[in-house]
Amino acid sequence: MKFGVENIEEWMFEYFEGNLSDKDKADLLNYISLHPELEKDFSQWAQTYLLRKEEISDYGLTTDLLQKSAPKFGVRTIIASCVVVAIILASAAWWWGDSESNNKTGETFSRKTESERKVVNNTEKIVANKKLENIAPVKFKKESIQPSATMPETMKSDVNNNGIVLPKAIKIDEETVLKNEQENKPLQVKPEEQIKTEIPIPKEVVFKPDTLLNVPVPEKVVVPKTKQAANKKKAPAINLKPDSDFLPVNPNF
Amino acid sequence: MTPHEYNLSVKEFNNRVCRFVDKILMDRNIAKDITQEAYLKLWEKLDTVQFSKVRAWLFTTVYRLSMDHINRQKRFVSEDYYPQSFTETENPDLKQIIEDSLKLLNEVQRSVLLLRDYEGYSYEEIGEVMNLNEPQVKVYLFRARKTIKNYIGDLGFVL
Repeated sequence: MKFGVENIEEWMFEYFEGNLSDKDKADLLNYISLHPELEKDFSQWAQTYLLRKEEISDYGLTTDLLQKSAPKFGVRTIIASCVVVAIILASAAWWWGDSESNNKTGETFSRKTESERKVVNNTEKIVANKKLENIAPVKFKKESIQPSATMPETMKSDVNNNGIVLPKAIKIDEETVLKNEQENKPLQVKPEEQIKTEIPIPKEVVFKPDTLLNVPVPEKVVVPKTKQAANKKKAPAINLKPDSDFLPVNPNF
Repeated sequence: MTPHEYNLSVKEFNNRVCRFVDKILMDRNIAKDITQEAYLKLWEKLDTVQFSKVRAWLFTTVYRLSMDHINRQKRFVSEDYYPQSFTETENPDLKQIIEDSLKLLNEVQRSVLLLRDYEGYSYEEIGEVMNLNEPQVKVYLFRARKTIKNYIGDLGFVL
């Protein structure tokens, strides 16, 4: 028998604590029913759990303990946002001012004289030609390229030799050459030497700030005269001699 | 834990925590002071305390603060608690008698009983709050209930 006088209180405690299985609960209740003197103890054990039913009273601390939440837009946030807005406005103003100045420079470029434009174009061609010189030429095989009627005369002699040397910048490969031959289209290729000779180096260059880069130093630098200086007429010399028909009024003259 | 979660813990637990301290110390005003002190500590350690464990943290803190308070009081007053309400009232409420019987318990037994009955804590949770193991919690709880049961039996109150 697991229940006895010496341990019945522990079993009652375990019963009300909810630590017993259903079988143990049934056995305990059965044992108590067989021993009515234990019913009083059993009910007193039950009364020790009355504290569980007590409701929570309000101690009035809630309002004192609550912390006020920080404002959504604090002083730091406002200052930071102001700084950001100021930076945006400043950058926008700078950009607007920069675009305005670009428009003005565009207008000055459009007012260039025809001679200035020519000089500038020539210098640009020189720069482009310099770039072509630096590029290694591509050598085509003799078998793939045959001299034809559409081919320029300057190239025919090269093709008859072991190979033809074309500048890489022309970007004409074997397939394009053959295709053009089949369609009897004239090959629009200029030999490297011809390209070089077409663009003479100008002797006179008008220096502009944007055209000075990578341009060979010209032999003579001519600063163009302004329009006002060119249009300025020389004042006629003053002749102090009197005319022949001049009669002086002053008798002392 | 965020300030919002702190406020949630205040709304949810402050009365429970204060009641726990009130029942341990049998002094409402000191209970309120200790509860406020615990929440002040919680606010200071907002970054280290997780919201999921704030309840256990609060009860652990107030339990330690209560024990410190009792230890300080014992230096000056060596008077045993004894329930007076029964002798003062002719027909006391049974609930009131049980509350008065808490005065017969020592602080540890009382704390275990309050955490078990008021807060519904398991043995393990009570052990975490009070730094005890589960068998110790069970023993303290059994002794506390037996003391209350004997007190009720002496008064002759039976449901």
